[in-house]
Amino acid sequence: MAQNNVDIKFLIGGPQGGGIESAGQIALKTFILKGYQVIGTREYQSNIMGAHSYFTIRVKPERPGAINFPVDAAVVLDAESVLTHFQDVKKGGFMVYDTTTLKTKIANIAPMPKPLKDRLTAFFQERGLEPTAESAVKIAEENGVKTIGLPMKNLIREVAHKTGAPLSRVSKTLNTIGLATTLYLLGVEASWIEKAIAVHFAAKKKVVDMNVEAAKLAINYVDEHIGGPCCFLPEGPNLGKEAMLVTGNEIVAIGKTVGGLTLQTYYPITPASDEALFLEGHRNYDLAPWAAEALELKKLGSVVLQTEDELSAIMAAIGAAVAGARSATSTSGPGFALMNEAISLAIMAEVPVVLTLWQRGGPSTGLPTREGQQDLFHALFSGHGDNPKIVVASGDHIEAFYDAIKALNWAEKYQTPVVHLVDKYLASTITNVYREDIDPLKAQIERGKLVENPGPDYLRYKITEDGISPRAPMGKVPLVWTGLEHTEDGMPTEDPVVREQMMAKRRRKFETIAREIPDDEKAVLHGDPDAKITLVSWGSTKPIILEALKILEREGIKANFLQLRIFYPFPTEKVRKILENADLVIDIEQNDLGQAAFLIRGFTGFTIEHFVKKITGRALWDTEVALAVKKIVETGEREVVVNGGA
Amino acid sequence: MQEARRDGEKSPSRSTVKMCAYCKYWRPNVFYPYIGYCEKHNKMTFDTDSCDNFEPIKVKPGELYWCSTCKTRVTGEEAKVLVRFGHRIHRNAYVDPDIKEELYSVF
Repeated sequence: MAQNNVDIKFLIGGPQGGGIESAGQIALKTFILKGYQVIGTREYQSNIMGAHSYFTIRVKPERPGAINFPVDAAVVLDAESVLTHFQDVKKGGFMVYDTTTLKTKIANIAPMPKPLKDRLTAFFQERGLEPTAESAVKIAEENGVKTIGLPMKNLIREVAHKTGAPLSRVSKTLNTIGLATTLYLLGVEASWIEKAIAVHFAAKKKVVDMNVEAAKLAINYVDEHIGGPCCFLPEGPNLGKEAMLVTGNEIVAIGKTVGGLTLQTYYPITPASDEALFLEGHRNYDLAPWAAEALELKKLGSVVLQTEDELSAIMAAIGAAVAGARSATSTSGPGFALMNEAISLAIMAEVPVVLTLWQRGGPSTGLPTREGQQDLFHALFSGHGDNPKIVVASGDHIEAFYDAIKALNWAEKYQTPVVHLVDKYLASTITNVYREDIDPLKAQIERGKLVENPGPDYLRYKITEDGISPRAPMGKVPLVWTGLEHTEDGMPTEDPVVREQMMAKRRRKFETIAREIPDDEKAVLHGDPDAKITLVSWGSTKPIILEALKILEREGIKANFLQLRIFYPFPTEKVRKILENADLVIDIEQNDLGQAAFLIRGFTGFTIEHFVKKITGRALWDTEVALAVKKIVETGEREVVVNGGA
Repeated sequence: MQEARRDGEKSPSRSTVKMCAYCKYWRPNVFYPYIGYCEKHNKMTFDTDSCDNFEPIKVKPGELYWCSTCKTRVTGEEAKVLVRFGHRIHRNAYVDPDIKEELYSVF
């Protein structure tokens, strides 16, 4: 196979906590070491442990924009995974399973949701088959999938025998056995798998040795009982290039760190917590020499404060900002709801604070560990009173890195809350980034009108032409920061003339923001500007839709993609002009209301008539977007709801 | 002791009954129940291993047990019924202490 044609998709499924995460990470590292680019996305349930979870991976010479199904291969480590994914492998692909799971009946899989049990049971009964994992394997075979049963128990016993290690340790290599089998059959030589294991378990030599032995054993088993791959994959175009493997949570934390964050507050919530945990893990770390030289710093890191609830988290961040810290908080929809009152305070008191909002499926607790783009209205209209704030939505890991820095800059420069909209898909999707992708020198730290030595005449809320008053940190002069309407020196007042002046000042500030942030940063048109079909979306759907454009082009459908980046201040004229230039506009969102389309109508007067939606909480696929768009183009259908994924 | 079996497996003969899977000291791994932890010997064994310290599980009403077939906790009353359907009942389950490395934070 030629290097440029490499496009591999596979999944690793098993019980949550049963080694799926490690297997996924090792798989990603294997392909990065081999010179390819990767994305891996995790789907997991909110019961913490035991229920079905899976890791879907795509490998290409260039960074893959999306996952989709069916996959080329699946390694399914328990009965629930066999039964969940037996129809997810393409004809000619293969499925690796543990033979000890075969006799398991659907009824006995406790964590499997009852609706799925009912659907599967009916499926097998219609075909006269017992509702067991064995029947699923049989159907997969009938569908042209090669099924590979591994006698895991025997293989584990053999690893224990060969390494002399206790079974307590050897039992942890079960995922490696399944993964090594899969990677080898996908055409990856043993040496690359061994290198990835060594990288993954770097500091634990015994663990490396044991897992390498398990991988060798798996590969020997394949050679002896199944037959090895027809051919091996060529080395990828990025062989030897240093890469960092990061989740969306991590890249935002890295962006904040590079952006000079000094305090992060949070209360634990999915899918936001991992961002704060990453910051906690890097509170005061030594920079690599190249970064130390570039930033003229030896160490980086910020204080991370876990508070007792979300209201405390935002209030602590506000307090720190008032004291002069560059501060942020991080949460998801339910936590953001609790922060609403404080958001108003930050607007009225003109406090620079960043709120990173990791959306998940709502409303309420909803789908805590699943994808959703349902908090756009919530972000934009959070807080009471007239409550303008900057709202920026990142489309991918690289954007999220720079947006995290920009959000801190905008918050301080314009003394306002900035909501950074990200989501669960981005949070738990892992990809490789190269050094040039996240250049800290491309985003300088800006702190705006910061007065280090205010004199006795200093006015905290001085009325200015651009609406921005010089900001002095607490401790230099007596200061009043207040949520009450106030005079220029911050003293509370209900005077009607001052009220009008202050409202006008805050409005002018947003006119300044609207003027100073270029339209190119607020909305981006991807693809041919003259195409007569325009897809509109925002957030993490960006790379997925860009991949869908390529699929559509191969189908003879020429479309472009308008990515909305900043919702307030909204790029009204730019968006209106682009949409009016199209014959067909299709809104693509992962919410039911078409929230962005609603806002577009409100800001521009343009009504979008066609929609593609995904509301299942699962990752959006490029293929389903392309199919849905094609259907709308061909039939004029108003709305297509897509629902791929287990 | 009532014989506990995996779904579809034949009743074990007398000579195989004294294996870890049926011993009161043995706790199966929550995910992969053919491996488990022996409290008596403080080590992991396979379900089909055996030793002289074997003691059968005695299921009592009002106590809690682990069904490795269903991967869930059951009462003694439920366990007595499940055993008749071939489910494997144990006094408890074993959770690998390193599991935290594999779990995502969920709140």
